[in-house]
Amino acid sequence: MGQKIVIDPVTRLEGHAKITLQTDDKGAVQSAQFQVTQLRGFEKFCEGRPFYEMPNLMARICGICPVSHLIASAKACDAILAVRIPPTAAKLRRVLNLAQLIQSHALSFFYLSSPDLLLGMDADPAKRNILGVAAANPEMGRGGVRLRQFGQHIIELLAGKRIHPGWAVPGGVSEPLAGEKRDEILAMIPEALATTRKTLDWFKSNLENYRDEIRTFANFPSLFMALVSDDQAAYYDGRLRFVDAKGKIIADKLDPARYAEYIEEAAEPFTFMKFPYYKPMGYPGGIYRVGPLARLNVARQCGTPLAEQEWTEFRSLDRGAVLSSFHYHYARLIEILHAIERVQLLLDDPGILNHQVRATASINSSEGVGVAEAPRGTLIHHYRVDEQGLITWANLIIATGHNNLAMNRGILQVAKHYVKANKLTEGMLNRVEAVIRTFDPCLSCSTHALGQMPLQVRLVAPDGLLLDEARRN
Amino acid sequence: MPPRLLVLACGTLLRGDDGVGWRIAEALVQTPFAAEIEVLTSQQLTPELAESVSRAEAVVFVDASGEEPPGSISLKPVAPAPSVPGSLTHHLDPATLLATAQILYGRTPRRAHVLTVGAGSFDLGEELSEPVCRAIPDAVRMIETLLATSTRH
Repeated sequence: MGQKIVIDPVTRLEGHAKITLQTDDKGAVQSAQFQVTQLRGFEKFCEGRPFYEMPNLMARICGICPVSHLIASAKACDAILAVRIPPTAAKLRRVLNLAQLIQSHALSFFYLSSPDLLLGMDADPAKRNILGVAAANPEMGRGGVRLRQFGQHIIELLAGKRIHPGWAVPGGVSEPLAGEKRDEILAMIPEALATTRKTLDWFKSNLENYRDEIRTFANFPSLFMALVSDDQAAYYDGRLRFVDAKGKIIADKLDPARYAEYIEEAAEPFTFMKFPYYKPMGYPGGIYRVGPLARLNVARQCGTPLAEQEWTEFRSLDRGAVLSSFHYHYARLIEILHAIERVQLLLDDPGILNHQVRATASINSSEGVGVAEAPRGTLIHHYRVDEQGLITWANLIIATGHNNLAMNRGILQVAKHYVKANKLTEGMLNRVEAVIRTFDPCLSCSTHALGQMPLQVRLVAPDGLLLDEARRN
Repeated sequence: MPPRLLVLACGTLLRGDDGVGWRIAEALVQTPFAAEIEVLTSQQLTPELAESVSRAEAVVFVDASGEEPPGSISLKPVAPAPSVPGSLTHHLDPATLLATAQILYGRTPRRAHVLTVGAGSFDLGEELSEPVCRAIPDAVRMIETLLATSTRH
């Protein structure tokens, strides 16, 4: 008799979701669905608002990555003004975006995923959290907390506050950087670099312990997409590149503003999150991944010395692109290293203190697209305005959404390997969740929802009979 | 020099009386004893605050409460919690934050309290209700008394 297994909600990620696994008569998993169950719909309720309000409004989508939305939105508004923002403003936005990446990646790695990595997938769920990490390895716990503080403090110094800052505005940024703030950030860099390098060394020395997870965690051929500039991953500005599973470039130098020519979004009745795909290959064959793993796969060099060494070692994991989504964790750490180095380079430029940081103009275009790399991947904001500058239409494609096809396929792969329907175990279910956590999905962003996440797993026969149930709060 | 008293005020200024913690924090920095305390504001308690908590001689968490009459003030001691829920992500309650400080940094303040002000409304808006506004001076005085009695661990 076939069964249905529901994990509802999924824990240690941002937002509400549940996972439904359907088994066949022999108890083998046949299908998997990652269901995002809430909707807030920012695209609709921003209609009628003045475009210059958009950066602040869009930053409210999420408390984890408000800076990413702020920046993509400000870029879309730059396009509506049809201005080229002052070079110093662009550099300051880059620093802000990198700080966001550091704090978000630190949250993902240390707070959400290191409990699994340090304590084990089968550890007591009551201890699989940042406190469990702190108890088992206080140095790592302190390092994770400090690294997140580092990113948040840069955001606070630049933009005035850690969460929902409003400093990036149409045409640039609202205030230049003061010299003492620059010096304060630079003084924090050695500790942040040391923490990241130490964590990378720890992670690499433990990779052997996760051979099974590396083999089964969303490890399949797919395309990868990211912004690229000078063959390096470009976090603030660049052209889009797609590579295939062999690492071969299949599309390059694509204008991000023309994303609709090569990205299409499919909808499925079981979830509020859409399914973007690479248009020339159709749905669902055009499956692609974004985010840290994709950025390291599309790049041909890293651009900063310490991260370059790590990137070279990372790329030697596979002959072509690195395919296992377990390595999102690895890529995240390398990106933190790169971001810290890049922040230092940007702040060492004397021009960073220049006071010309904002271009002014009136509405010169009825449409604007802003694209940047958020921590979780490529973020697209697209607005249309009327003659008064009021928003008439908006479309957001969020990083987590790009990964939707891959997350669903990854769950199926893990579930087929670990889940046996006649016996539910905590470790088995945690692995199903853990494959999702490798992508670090932000469902608050991708559907604009936020929630709390106890876990419920139900085994239901095709006739509706409840066969088994597991619950944790 | 660690502060004799750390005040950690939580809430959001956009949800009516939920902003009372921030308003009390604003009032505290205007007092004659402001130099003797450290005041931090946050929308929620996060592990990043553990380091500041660990350095303080005493701490008071200030927040709105939906379970008490509007404007009423409650002051209760709080101790580090021995355990936390498995789904912990990036926000904590006071007891868990104290435990985090103990685990990560090996110490917690000798005295820890939670001061709450009963809220009348959490509706959208930046204004506090009248009873909650009236409670702010009393809350400040209670925190001043805590400062006077705080001693280093």
